[in-house]
Amino acid sequence: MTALMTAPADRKPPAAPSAPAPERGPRRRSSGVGTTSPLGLSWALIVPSIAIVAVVSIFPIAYAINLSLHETRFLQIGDFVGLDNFAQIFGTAEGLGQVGRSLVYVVGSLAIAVPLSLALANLLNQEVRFRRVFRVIILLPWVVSQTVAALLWKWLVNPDYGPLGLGDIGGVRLDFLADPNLAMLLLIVVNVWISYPIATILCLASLQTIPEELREAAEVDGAGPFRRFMQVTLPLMKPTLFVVVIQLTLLYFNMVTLIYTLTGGGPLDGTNLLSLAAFKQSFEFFNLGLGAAYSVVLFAFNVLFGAAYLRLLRSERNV
Amino acid sequence: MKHGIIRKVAAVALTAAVGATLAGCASGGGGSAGGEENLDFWIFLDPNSPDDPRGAALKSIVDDYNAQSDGVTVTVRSINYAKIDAEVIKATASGQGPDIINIYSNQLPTHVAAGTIQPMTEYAQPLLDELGDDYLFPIDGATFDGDIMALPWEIRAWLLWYRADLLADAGLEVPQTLDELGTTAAALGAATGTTGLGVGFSNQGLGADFMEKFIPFTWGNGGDVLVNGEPAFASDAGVATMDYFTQLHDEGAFGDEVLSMGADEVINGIKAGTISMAIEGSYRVAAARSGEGIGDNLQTAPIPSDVAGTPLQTPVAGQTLAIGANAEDPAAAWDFIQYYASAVSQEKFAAAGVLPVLASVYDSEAVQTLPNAGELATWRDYVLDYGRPAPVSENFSELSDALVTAGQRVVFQGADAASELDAVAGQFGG
Repeated sequence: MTALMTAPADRKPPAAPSAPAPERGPRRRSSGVGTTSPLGLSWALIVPSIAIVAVVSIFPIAYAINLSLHETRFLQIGDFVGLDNFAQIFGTAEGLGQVGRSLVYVVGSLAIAVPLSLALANLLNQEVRFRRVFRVIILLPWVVSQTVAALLWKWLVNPDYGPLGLGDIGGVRLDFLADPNLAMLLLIVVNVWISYPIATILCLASLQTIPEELREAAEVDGAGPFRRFMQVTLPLMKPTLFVVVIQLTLLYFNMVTLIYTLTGGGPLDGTNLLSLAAFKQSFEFFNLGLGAAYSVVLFAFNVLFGAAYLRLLRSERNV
Repeated sequence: MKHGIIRKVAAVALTAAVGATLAGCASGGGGSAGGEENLDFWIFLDPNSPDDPRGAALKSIVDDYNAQSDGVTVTVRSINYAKIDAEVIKATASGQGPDIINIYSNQLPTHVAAGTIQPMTEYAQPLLDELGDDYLFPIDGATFDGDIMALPWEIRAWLLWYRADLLADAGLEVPQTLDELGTTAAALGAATGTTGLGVGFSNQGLGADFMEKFIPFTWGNGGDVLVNGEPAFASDAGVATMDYFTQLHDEGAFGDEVLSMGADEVINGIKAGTISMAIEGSYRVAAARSGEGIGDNLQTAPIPSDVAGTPLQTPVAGQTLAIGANAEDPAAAWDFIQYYASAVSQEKFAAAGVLPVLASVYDSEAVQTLPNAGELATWRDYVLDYGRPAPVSENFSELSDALVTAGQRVVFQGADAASELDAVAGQFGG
């Protein structure tokens, strides 16, 4: 498409439909890989890529699906059990609770992280003094590992010796890790804290591609800052925002380390999510079949959400 | 012709690569080169830890062994205690497991079922026959289907830990009964603003800290936790234990803050002075005392029971060494294990606060001159008089995780103890 649009203007027009077709010589038979024909070369270049993708992506997914349909004992695969492992997830209150809490965690984190990133990106895009310093400070959490972040926040919110002084707030002791709802809130906050920098960078990059003339034209037309943002900036950022949302959704659904280190799934199962259950069943209890079933459910959620976002993006483009 | 040469060269290179890979896989964790033999030893202790004196003892023992052994070098790999079992199972399944593995006795059934270790009866039985009564650990706890699968090198018991300084400040005595434990803890909490009795109700660490109390309390109530590996806790004794935890919570011995505590948090709380009492293992006393300003302020006593002067039975467990399933030279691995469990090594661990498995070590000059010699002897006597092998099961970690969650619901949400215990037992085939 791009090549057609940039084709030189003096290119010869195609032959008229009525003109006789030029006589063609005998078509060269494609001899496949190992020849110097364009088709053979194409296959020779593509096959290694396909093989690598198959090995690192398709095979593990197929293996996990197969594993989820079998009984397992430690690392050995046993009898075929059909959907029994999935019944343990969708047929029990515990499993459904994990699904519900995972959705709360992902949607709650997105609801904070995306607007926050957007707002910070706009701030960082302004011509202010020490802009570079602000950028570095805002991006700092990005370099902190999930384990370190979890331990850092555990210390911060500890009501006995944490520097936030949550042991006595007007006579009330606030222990985030002793209440299931507060623990979920803390988990979401810490999750946003470690993930907003990447979203901010992407938003900032997108903002910098928007021509200033468009905003100036809107200003000349009498649009205020809020209207300029809503009607000029935001529509042009939508493709990037969808990418950000897809990336964050995948990251949040699959997150284990932060949850494992910060709350361990507790208290009262209040932060026991699908990803944590997948890890614990697989690598702490060695119920690989059930752990694989959890992983397949997570995979399905990721595909579902990813496809929904893409569909939404396409429909936006078609409007 | 040219293509033929290329194909031959490629085939030779591929064969060499596959051969090298297979050779690498087959060699397992250790290996030998030029007459030198290397043994991989995986353990949860860190030989370079500045805080844990057991790490220094480990380093000294391994260094001494390597210096005196002929052509055998043991290399330590330190792995966090919460991860080591999973790492060993995964590595062994891929043929890369270690030659020597440190396994906590509670986890032995899991490793036997997962096939990560190999029997050592032919090596261990002659040694045990020779040692006779000098060897204190009940070897049945490491015997499966008639085969000795590991050699315990330490004994641990669970004790009442208390901060003597905090008790003195509040003008309170060390509790002598379980009822007093609750009232004293509540009074300590009220007087000092600390958590009177630390019980780790968190899911972190798979609820191990909770289980370390649930087991002796259930025994004290006349019940069992597991019988032949099957759940037996869904009983009147189990319910009475849950009710006792609820009583402790209701009278103020601990608050909701324990929901975020595992064993590490409880011990850190004792060290920081934010927890006054706890029931923790003998093996961590030395490390806790090494904290700034702790020292002799941390004291221990047998766990009280309902009857003053008669302690509760204490679970007996311990760290063991086993020969890895991938070990190519089990005799060499055993040679190190034997050295590790010898009197010389046991004396080094005793200095680090670890209870030796050899009775004679307690009477040795090296141990008798230790500042904690009297305390070690007290703990040994508690183990001998009131010790009982800790219950074990192939899926102990999963059970422990489920039971602590049940405990949270009963104590902090008012759920029915019998129903919760029945549900967990049903989940594990009871």
